[in-house]
Amino acid sequence: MNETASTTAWRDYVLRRGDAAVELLRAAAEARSLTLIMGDGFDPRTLQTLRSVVRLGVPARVVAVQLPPGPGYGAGTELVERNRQDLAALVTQHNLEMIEISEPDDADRLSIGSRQARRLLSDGVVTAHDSVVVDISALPSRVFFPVIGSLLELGKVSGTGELLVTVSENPTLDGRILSDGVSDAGPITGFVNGFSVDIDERRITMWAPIVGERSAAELEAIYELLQQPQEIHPILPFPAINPRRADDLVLEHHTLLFERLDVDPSNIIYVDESNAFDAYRALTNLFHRSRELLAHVGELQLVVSTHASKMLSAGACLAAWESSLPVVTASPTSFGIEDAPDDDWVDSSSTMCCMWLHGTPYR
Amino acid sequence: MRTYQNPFRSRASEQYRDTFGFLRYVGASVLDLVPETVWDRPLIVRSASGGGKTTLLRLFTVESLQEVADHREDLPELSGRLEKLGALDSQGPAKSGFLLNLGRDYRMLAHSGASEDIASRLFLRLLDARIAAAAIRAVLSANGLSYPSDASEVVFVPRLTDEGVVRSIDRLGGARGDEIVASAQATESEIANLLDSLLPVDWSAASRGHTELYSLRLLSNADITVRNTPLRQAPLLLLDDGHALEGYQRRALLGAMLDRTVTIGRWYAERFEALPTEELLQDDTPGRDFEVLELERAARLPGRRRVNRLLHDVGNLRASRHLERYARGGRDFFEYLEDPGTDITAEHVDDVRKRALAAADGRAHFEAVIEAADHGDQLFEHAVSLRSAEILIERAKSRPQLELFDAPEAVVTTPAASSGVNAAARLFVCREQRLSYYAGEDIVVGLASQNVEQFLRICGDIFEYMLGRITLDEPPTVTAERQQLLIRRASETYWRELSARVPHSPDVLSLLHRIAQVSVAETERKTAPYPPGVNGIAISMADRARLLDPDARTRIPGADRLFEALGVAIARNVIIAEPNYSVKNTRVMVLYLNRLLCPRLYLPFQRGNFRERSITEVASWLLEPAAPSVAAEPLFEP
Repeated sequence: MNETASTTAWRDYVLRRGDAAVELLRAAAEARSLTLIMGDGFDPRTLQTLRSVVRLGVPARVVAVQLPPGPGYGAGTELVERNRQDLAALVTQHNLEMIEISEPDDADRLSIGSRQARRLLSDGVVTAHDSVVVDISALPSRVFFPVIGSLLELGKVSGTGELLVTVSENPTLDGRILSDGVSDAGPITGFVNGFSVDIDERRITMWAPIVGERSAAELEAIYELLQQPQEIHPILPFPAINPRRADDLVLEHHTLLFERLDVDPSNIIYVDESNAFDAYRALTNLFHRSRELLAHVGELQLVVSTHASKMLSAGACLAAWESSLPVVTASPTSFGIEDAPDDDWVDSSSTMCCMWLHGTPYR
Repeated sequence: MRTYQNPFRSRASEQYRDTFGFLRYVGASVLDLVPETVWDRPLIVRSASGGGKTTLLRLFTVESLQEVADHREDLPELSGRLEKLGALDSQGPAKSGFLLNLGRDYRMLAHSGASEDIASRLFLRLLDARIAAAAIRAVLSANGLSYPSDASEVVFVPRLTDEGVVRSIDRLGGARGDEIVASAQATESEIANLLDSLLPVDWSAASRGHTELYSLRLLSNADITVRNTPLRQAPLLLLDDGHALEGYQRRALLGAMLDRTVTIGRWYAERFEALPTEELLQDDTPGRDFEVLELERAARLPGRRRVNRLLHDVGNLRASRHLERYARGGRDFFEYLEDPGTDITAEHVDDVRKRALAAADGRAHFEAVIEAADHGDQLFEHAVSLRSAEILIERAKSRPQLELFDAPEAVVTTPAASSGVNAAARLFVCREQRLSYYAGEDIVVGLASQNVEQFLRICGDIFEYMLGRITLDEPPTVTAERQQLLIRRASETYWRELSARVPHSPDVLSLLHRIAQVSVAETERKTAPYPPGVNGIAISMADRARLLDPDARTRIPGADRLFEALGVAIARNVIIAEPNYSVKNTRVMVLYLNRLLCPRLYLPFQRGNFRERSITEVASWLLEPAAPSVAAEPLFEP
């Protein structure tokens, strides 16, 4: 895909994996102590970034974002408890400061993230000069989108501080995480960006879902919300560790995509599974190119939704924040994992990735 | 290669930007469900997802009414019914309907972090802005003018000069359309920025809001003029997706709509999900000041053939043009579906006879019954007659020992005497001989469980097969065998997808599996005591009262979970509840399986047969999840 001049903020970007990712954390901690924002979910990768930080021995504090309890099943709820105990042990052992951002009682699924993100700033948990690392491994998109968005907004206003995002990649483990139920679709607060489904002859709604496995119910719920968008651009992962993954996704969702949603196969966009910035570029380019082409017809509303890996979701978050794109979600009502995997296996088979989004490299 | 479209793959209400395309697909019979007194009081429309609420509301928008008026000859049934209801007259639309979706950002306001007082006032202010702007837009559309450029042509002239109307004009930004539109846009922008802020918000500085819906007051107490001419059409407010509102927002809105000083037509639609479980389990709709239309429930009341007629219309309207174009066929969609039992052969009849004779066990009076039943003009009816004889023999065998002077032949009546036994025999023959049972128009329409979305899904699968045949240059006829395969596959998919689509799915699935197990066990009994079979359970109304009582629930293990699961299952139309059903001098609440769950288990889907269970037993099911009720045999024969 051709670059456009509009791809600005992360035209050149910083993304590292494995040991090199850990080195980024060390570099970010040089000026100020690290503030690590993480979720307290069931995902076995929850503590991987924190363990890397304590191994580095850099000064740090932990901000644990509480997640809605929700019904879990299998070993999911047991894992939440285990993660909490391990987190408490690490904090005690390394004498770390820990702050908990509780879940607001009166917030719904779509606004919890933005309420917690605003609290980070209003309560002074994070200030404009901090070096902040957001680990999204255990955070759902409806939480980490507003958290990253708020911190980017803070950085944009202040021009100071550092912002890094880490994610622990493990496609095998992703495949073992199960979910059930699907909530009604809606825009994530903080990323509504003027989203509307009311009749308006001037509005052209385009939908770019990042398609993942077992996401048919989510896709259908969002399609229903959007009420027949004029164009759909499914985003599929290629290249990928499993080179057939994009084909498998097409097979899995064939009836939905091509019969019910009437997707034009030439609309499919492929992005590198392991690079959030590729998804960011693809969405940003799609938006600017389409807006320009359709300018004489009407006003473009490009709606983004994510149903695949955290890495690609992070890319969508950057594109949505930069170009003010609405992000909608219809997330499962509960998650679970049939068998809790062994910690050693999780560590050896997961790769930590780190994206530096704001701060020193861009100044 | 030529590409074909499947017209069942998108819902009618989703044909969003093409009004005529939408109207062409709508079955006019849906208007038969609309009560007659809907213009002078609020109408509340409820259904499960996909029940047809949006379609119904959209029919009354000024754009739809205008389109029908412009194409009366193309849409004779729609125009006739709309005229009868008073929405159309000889000059065109008599109503200026405007549709607003409540599934937008209103709920966000309730969860924004603002106090309930501030959030409530902002909610009413935002809704006011949108109602006023939408009303002006509809008025302009009805008069062939453009929105928003011609908004200044619309003027609200108060009929009363009371303080309330004056305040309404002030709060809405003025009496001229352009003033109101400008104010509405400013309100939209201001509130959207607050709600979507990624940085902290000072809500105390955002407290300007409304304490009532001024737009309804203005629309009720002002004459509307367009270019100095009085507006001919009466405004009609159509609110959709009310279930998306927060509880207090919903109550405030319904309160405003029920206000007797409001005189404009106002319709409000929501899914059953909006109702608390207590209301879902009620058998009566409260209130007399408003009309309630519950689409699925209305469909089950006497006269439900109207709904089957509606689905029949929807199927034929969607498919006819495509079939005509693709296959040059002049027949209706349903005429391409073969009836059940057409795949039977003489060998099947022989096999049924052998079974019956084995049941007779060499006893002469039983064999005489078989001989009497051993006839039939058509093979399928012949087999059913023989299988009915077997049921009657089994019933006779299971009776207590005969009295001394009972004549043996008196224990068996002729098969023709009982249509119930014949219905059970029909199912048994099909299941045992692997013949098609789920085929034909009545089955396809019945499987919808009065839900349009479910109906479209089944028809979509059948039409897909038709397209395959058309591609091979074959007639699009669908054999009974193929229909059964497609329908059972749809049923299988529905079962499988429940866990991904239904909240609290482990408990809902446990409940469904147990109801299915009871139904299968009763249906498979040799004596067919509840012909043609069972597809639900019932709890007494006294037990239902215990389920509704929070204190009583604490004393019944599993009752709280049952309460939650039942609420979800009924709201999502997975279980169909019929409270206050009269049986054996008592009253029960029947819980039927959604009909699409039945083919997977070879269950019939006729209503009326269920088994009673105590609330204690049903609640205990959720504490000990059942093994899945899926049959042990493979679903699809090689």
